Amino acid sequence: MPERIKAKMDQYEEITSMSQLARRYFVTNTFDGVLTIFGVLLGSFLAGLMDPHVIVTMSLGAGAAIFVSGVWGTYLAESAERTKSRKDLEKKMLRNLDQTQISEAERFATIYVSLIDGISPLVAIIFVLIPFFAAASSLIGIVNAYYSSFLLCIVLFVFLGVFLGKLSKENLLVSAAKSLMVGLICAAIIYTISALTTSPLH
Amino acid sequence: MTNVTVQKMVLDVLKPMEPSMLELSSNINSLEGVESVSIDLLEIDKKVENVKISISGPTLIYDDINNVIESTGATIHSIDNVFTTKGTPASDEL
Repeated sequence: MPERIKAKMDQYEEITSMSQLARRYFVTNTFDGVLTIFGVLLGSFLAGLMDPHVIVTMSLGAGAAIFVSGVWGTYLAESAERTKSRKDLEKKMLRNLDQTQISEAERFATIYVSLIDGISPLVAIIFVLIPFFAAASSLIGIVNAYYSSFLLCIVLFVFLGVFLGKLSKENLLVSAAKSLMVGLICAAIIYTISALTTSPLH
Repeated sequence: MTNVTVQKMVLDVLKPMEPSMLELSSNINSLEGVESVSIDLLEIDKKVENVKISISGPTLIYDDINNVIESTGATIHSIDNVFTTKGTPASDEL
């Protein structure tokens, strides 16, 4: 990374601690994305939906909605919080802080964390959908696509668990197991709903 | 009119906690004509700190220094000390 850009990013980080916030949004929203697509796919599987094109369209629709919601919602919330915080500081400083490094850093941080919030779940959803893109191109069968996608969901749960474990310097296996448990609980709920509403796939 | 150059000034500055004193000191020191910067912490609060900045160099330009300080969100409250000399320093000193 060019020296100048790195220095600028370090400056923004010092003022806003944006990396901490970005990590938080990355984890929570990737979880949201994986659980959303996992729920959609499991529900589709149990309902007997076998058209990969429909599944891809439906899932990408959900991904787009999560992306827009993530970016816009976080942008509005972060802007509001940072504006409040800056106004409090302006009262103490007895001056306006527009056109300063502080306002520049805060503008950047707001956009940065908003994009992380929106892109993380979308990337997770697209990643899990890879087998369905292959199925839509008739490269693999639909049932294999389902199983492969479920496996990719498990991979992502484990990845998130390991990421959090490394961050908090906890046992990685325990952290991964906690993360996987979330997926299992989600699966149990969806299976129960499916059992109550539709006939299970044989 | 005789040329007078400012070679040292001490400023009372109120600054936000971030950017840090290190960052502020580096920014001021990067100005032409500034040779050294010393910052002492006088008072600290949750969000702001009151510092004394001592700047010296062959030719200090107050407006440039003020602009750098303001760009970090800080404010000069007062000039507590200033040292000037007559004449322009020799070019090899710059």
